[in-house]
Amino acid sequence: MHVLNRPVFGALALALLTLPTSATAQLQAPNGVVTLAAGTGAPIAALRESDTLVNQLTRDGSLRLTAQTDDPLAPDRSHERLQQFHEGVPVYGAEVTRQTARGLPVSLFGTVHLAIDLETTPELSADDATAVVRGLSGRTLFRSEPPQLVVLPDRTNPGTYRLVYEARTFTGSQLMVYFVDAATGALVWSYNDLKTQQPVLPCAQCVIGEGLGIKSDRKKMSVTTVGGAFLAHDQLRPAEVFTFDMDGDLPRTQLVLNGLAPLFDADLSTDTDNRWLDGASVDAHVGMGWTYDYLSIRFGRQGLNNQNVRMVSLVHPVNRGDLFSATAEEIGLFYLNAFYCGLCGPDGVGVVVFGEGLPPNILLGGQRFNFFSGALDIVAHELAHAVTDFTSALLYMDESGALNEAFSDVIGVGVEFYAESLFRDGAGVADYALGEDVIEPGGIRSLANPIQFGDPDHYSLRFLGKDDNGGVHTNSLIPGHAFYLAIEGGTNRVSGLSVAGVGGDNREQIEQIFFRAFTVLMTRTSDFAAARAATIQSARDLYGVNSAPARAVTEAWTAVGVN
Amino acid sequence: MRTRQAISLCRGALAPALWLIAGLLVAAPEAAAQLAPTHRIVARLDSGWRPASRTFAGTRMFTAHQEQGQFEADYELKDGGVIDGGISFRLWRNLGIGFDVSRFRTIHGARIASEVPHPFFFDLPRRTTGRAGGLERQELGFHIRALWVSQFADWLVVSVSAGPSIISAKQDLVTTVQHTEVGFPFSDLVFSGHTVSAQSETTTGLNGGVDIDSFFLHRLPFLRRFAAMERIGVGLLARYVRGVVTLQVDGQPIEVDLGGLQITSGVRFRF
Repeated sequence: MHVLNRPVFGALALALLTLPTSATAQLQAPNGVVTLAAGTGAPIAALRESDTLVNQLTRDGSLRLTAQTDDPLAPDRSHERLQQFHEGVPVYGAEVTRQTARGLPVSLFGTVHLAIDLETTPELSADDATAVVRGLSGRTLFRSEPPQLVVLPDRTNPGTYRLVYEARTFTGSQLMVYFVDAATGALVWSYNDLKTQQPVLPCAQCVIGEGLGIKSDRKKMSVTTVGGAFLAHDQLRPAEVFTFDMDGDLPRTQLVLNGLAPLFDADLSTDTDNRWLDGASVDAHVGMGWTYDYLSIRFGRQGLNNQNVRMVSLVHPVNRGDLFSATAEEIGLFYLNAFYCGLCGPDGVGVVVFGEGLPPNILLGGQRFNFFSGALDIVAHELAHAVTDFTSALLYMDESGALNEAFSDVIGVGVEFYAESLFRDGAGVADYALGEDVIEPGGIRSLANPIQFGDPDHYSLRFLGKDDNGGVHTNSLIPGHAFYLAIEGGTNRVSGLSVAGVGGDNREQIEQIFFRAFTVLMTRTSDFAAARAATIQSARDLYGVNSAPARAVTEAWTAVGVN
Repeated sequence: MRTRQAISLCRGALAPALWLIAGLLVAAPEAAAQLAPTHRIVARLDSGWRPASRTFAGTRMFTAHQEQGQFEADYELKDGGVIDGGISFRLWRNLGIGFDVSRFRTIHGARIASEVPHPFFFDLPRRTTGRAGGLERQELGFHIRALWVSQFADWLVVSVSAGPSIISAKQDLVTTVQHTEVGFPFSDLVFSGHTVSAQSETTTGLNGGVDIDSFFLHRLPFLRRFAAMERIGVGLLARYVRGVVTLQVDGQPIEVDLGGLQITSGVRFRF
């Protein structure tokens, strides 16, 4: 067996890549950082070279298989996700996805670091790191996720690395991710990982109930009956769906989110006659179920983590009547937002919280804010963050964060169109606007016309500041608009380039292309260019190199300025 | 299609009777002329068969998953045995009156087509089919007949009759259907059973028929010495009975056709 020790191998691999041979001409390794983007659109030599590198790193133990799945959309394909380790410590964001067909590589995407020279014995213990984080956040850590030692690539100085502890905690309004230097205890980096809807601001007990959504539209609810009462607990879907009514108790809501207070059956939204009238609970519960259905039927996915992890939401986290005594932070998060917290909840499997909105007589910017669960696209958007967390885990910052948001918008819109035939009693129509059913008039974002809400519809107009984790919400409209153009076609306002979309009747093609690219081809640090490459690869895999969907996706990215 | 089959079966049942009449008329020279009837009372006891000549369907609504569903049971009535007996009186010349009682019983099945609401969505019913077997139909008929009696020989009597009937029907009806959900995404489900209840009702109807009686036993050499043989004969009755009854299943009506063509034969006693 061919064995090299890792530093020696890394140096050899780096040396190999820096030689201008024909075999290595495709891979560039500035500072030892290699970005892999080899697919059917790349020269075959690049694919072979990338595959050889990945194989060598895998044999060496630097890359370890973390997930392997068969492709539900392309039967002969399978996907591997590999995580890079340095001396047994994971390298943050260093991942590779490899698509194979009958064992042969089809595409490779991701980033690996070949020139790591770092001692991995920490001077601080995990308990020391916990104390540091407690001091930073004022909160205890999630019991389910103690600090983890990772090698953190320097974001501003590629090729340099630090040994850090990664720790997460919910502060009451933010899901903070802290990176604490394992030698000094200094805070190296942090970001808010709370995925919000908008910036800043066959069992015996199963029964079917009928509920009225916030628009008084009739919906069927899959619930559980216990002791004559009916609980918002869906056991009919392979993934159980729970909708908890926090009854406006914000302190308890925060304890629950922090994993410091349990949730009981008594906390579930309840009805006495199975004729549900609390629209916020009805829409949350039904919307989560429909989102599960969409993921299953459209993509063959088994729930959020593909293993039918249960789906939990909290409604009524606050009382509208307490609005004037609430802090700005509480208003921004629990009244005027919805969010997915990946590690929140009693068992740390993630929770979606739907904001309460504002009293009907209070407008904000000329818009009325209703219960956030009343918008199906918002429900699906938040759950899509969980799908991202369980797949590409796109870093919630800068372009990868914008892609994270864009994917949620894509799923939000997709579910809305999927469920349009299920709407009853004038509950609305499917469109490319986000949140228009609860933030009236208009909503908060438009994939069809991003500029309507001041969001960029071209890469040249992207937000480059640091607010909102680097503009994850506003910049999400660039890929989001590309998604729209690939389906509906049209001309980009800025570039003037036209796109021949596949048409609304074929939207499923573009949805599958994006879903597949975002869940199995992209990695934590993918940027817009990587998303372009991954979606084009996905289109070619599913529909052929010169297919209409592949052309539409390519034209759409070009039209929005992502090349 | 069913009507055509029924007509075909009727023709098949009538054929033997017609051949019997034709044969007897040709074979018996003394039958060429019609005689005045010689006896006032004829009693008979028959058994026979009723071909399948009836189908009927019933639709029932039910509530499932907060929505209305329905099933249609298409009952396929099979042929069955008939016991028939009665007595007739000649009142004046060829005219008479008769009183008959008949009983019909058959076991049959039904095809069931259901539309079952989806557990998650309105207006997306799932469709299933199934079968119900072992359903029983009983009819007890009381028939009053006005008779025209023709005697073609001392041993051959043909009577044509018509009149009202009172029919009491007992019918097993499918009252509920059961399904087993296959599971997510609940696009399919399996028909797993049904329940049945017997419903009874009495109605009025009409009957009409031809009875061919032959009293030839006393002409047989080995029976000639028995005087009673002159009064005993055999006969063939072809009768059509028609009635309609409305049965109720949980307040939902199902219209059921009763009767049909029946062919019976048996003994005759004349006085």
